[in-house]
Amino acid sequence: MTDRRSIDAPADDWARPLAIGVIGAALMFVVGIRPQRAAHPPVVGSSTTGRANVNGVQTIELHVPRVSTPPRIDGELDEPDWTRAPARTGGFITADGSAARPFSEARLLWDEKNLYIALFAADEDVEVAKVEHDGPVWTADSFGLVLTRSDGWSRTLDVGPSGTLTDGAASPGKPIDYTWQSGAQVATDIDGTRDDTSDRDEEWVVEMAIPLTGLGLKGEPGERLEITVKRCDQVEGKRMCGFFGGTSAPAVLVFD
Amino acid sequence: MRARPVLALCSAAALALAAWAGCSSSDQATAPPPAVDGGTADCPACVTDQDCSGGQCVQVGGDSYCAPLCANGDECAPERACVPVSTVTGAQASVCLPRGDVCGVVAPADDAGIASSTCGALVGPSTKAACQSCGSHPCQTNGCYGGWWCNTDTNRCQAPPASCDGADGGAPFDGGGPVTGSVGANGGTVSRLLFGVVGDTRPPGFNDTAAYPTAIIEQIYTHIEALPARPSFVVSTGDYNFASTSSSAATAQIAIYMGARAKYSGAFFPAMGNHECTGATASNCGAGNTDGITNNYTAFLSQMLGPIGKTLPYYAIDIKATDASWTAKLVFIAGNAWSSAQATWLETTLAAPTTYTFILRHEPKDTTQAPGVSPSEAIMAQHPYTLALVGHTHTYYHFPGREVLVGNGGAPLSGSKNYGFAIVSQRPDLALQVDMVDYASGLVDSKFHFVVKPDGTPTP
Repeated sequence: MTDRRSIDAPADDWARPLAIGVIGAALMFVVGIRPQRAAHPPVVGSSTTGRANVNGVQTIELHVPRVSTPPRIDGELDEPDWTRAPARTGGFITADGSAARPFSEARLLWDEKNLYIALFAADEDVEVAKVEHDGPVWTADSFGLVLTRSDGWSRTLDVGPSGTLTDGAASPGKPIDYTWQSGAQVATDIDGTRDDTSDRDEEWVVEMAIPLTGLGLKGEPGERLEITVKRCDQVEGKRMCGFFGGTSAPAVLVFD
Repeated sequence: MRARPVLALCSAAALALAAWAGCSSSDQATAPPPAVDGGTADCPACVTDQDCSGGQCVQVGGDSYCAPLCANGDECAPERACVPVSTVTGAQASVCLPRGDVCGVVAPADDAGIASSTCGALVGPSTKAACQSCGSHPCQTNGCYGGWWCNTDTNRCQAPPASCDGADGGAPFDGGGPVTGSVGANGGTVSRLLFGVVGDTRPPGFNDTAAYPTAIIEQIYTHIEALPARPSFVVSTGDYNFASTSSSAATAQIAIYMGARAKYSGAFFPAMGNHECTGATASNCGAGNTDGITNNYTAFLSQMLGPIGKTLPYYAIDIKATDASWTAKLVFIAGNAWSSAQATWLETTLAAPTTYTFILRHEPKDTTQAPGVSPSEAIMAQHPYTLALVGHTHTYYHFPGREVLVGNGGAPLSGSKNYGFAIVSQRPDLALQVDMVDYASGLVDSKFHFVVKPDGTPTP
């Protein structure tokens, strides 16, 4: 059984002044420092990756191919570009570098208008947070995506199986501004049943188009964004998390 | 029915503001430290070291907790063990964790540690290896620091294994003595039952042939072929492709599967999955059915059932003992090609008396969206059978009763368990021992192991 949804988030501008959202205000309690880099060698996720030494830290360079025809954002991932040669993170890993369970993966494409991201989450029990746009979507199944410019400004996007999106703007030492709107178009496809613990599900997929202007990009080849993606799931009473990028294996998108 | 636990919280915002990898159950925006949710008295949850009153905020069990440092290895209280972990900032550290599975990770019950300096691909601190993760820290012989072990498969450092006899205390699979006799496309005669069960081998993405899990499947069948007592045959629980019904991707993916499966030289009997129809769990293929004849359905019939001479997606295979002491039948139900004809066939087939009856169907009994699940369950309830072997979910379970889920054959894992295969092995007392073998280590999962009588009732 599939459950397909498509949602458009309102657009906003990268330079919009920060306003402190309710959740962002609470996050003032959290220390806003850039994480220390660990010495783990990175995992190479696909044939489109490379490695670079940035300030003494080995960083994964994930080269994102440009597409001539934008994918239709319907949660289906049936456009050839998604399988031909997208940038692929490979399966997410845990903090100690082992393969994360359950399996999660991201694929990326871009064109002059958008960064396209496909997120795959194998999941025995798909749980959807009963929240609205810019609510705490992370209280149930979700991906957390952080895209960071070289100057430290970040854009955060949390998205769940229903396509509910919470997007925010962040800068070092400051709270998240959830009034910022990415303008992302989101569609999802659930292979299983939502919020039904009486059966076992297979997976859920997110297909997103994120306007480049909101990410502070001009849409030119060679532009770069640091990326971290994390996905946690509750499995047999334990929370299990996997990620791509981040402290132990930082990753940068390079727009080819 | 499973209880649904409350999913811990972890937002991208917390990742952006806090130490990324340390996002924990405590990063609920409205929960400032130190009143952090999600921990216990022994394992207080944390986001940063500032939550820990002088301790370290470390990642254990998929979450982050406060624990005191033990840089020298001998600073811990008796009820705690000094364990190498990763901090929330990604650095390596040794901290005192409560012994046992208290913080979501099993700290050793004593300080004896791992006797050997190697454990599979893992190499201990004092053994030379190619890891290079010391940074500015004192480097161990294996190229790690802080007591971590080097994984020689990836040359990455990781926490040491809790034990080296399998993830769950298992051991190499012992299938008993060799099997004589043979099984072919139409069944056969053997000295005892010994067969493998493999399930769910599709790639993660639609038409994603490039990501087909070929290496995993090859390793599974290579393991099966190399078992000291080689199984007489292998059955599979379905889903060999993830393809558009209008494309040729199913043909390509099933060809890859059959090539990988050829690492095992014995007979192979596949069940049909929902992806051999349209991919939808509710789909129903076959002439006269809602979804008709799809490319995926045709590829399954021609490439997987063609070699064993079957023309319908549902069929049965008879196996009998060399000494005539028992008989067995394998009954393959196609829950995504359900029809009244199949219902009649199933009724007749299950009515034929045999010592053992193994029912193969892709979807478990709780996946009632599949057209053939509820009607076949109703028929099964009227007849004796030994085990129902199913897949669909990409993990493995032995449910209460006679249903066994084997779906960890290469498709993206949906649970916490690893890829592998099940082995059903007949004992001299005619009871059947069922084990799950890890595809990488070859070790059995002792938590899964069980034994049943021919009628499916448990026995020691």
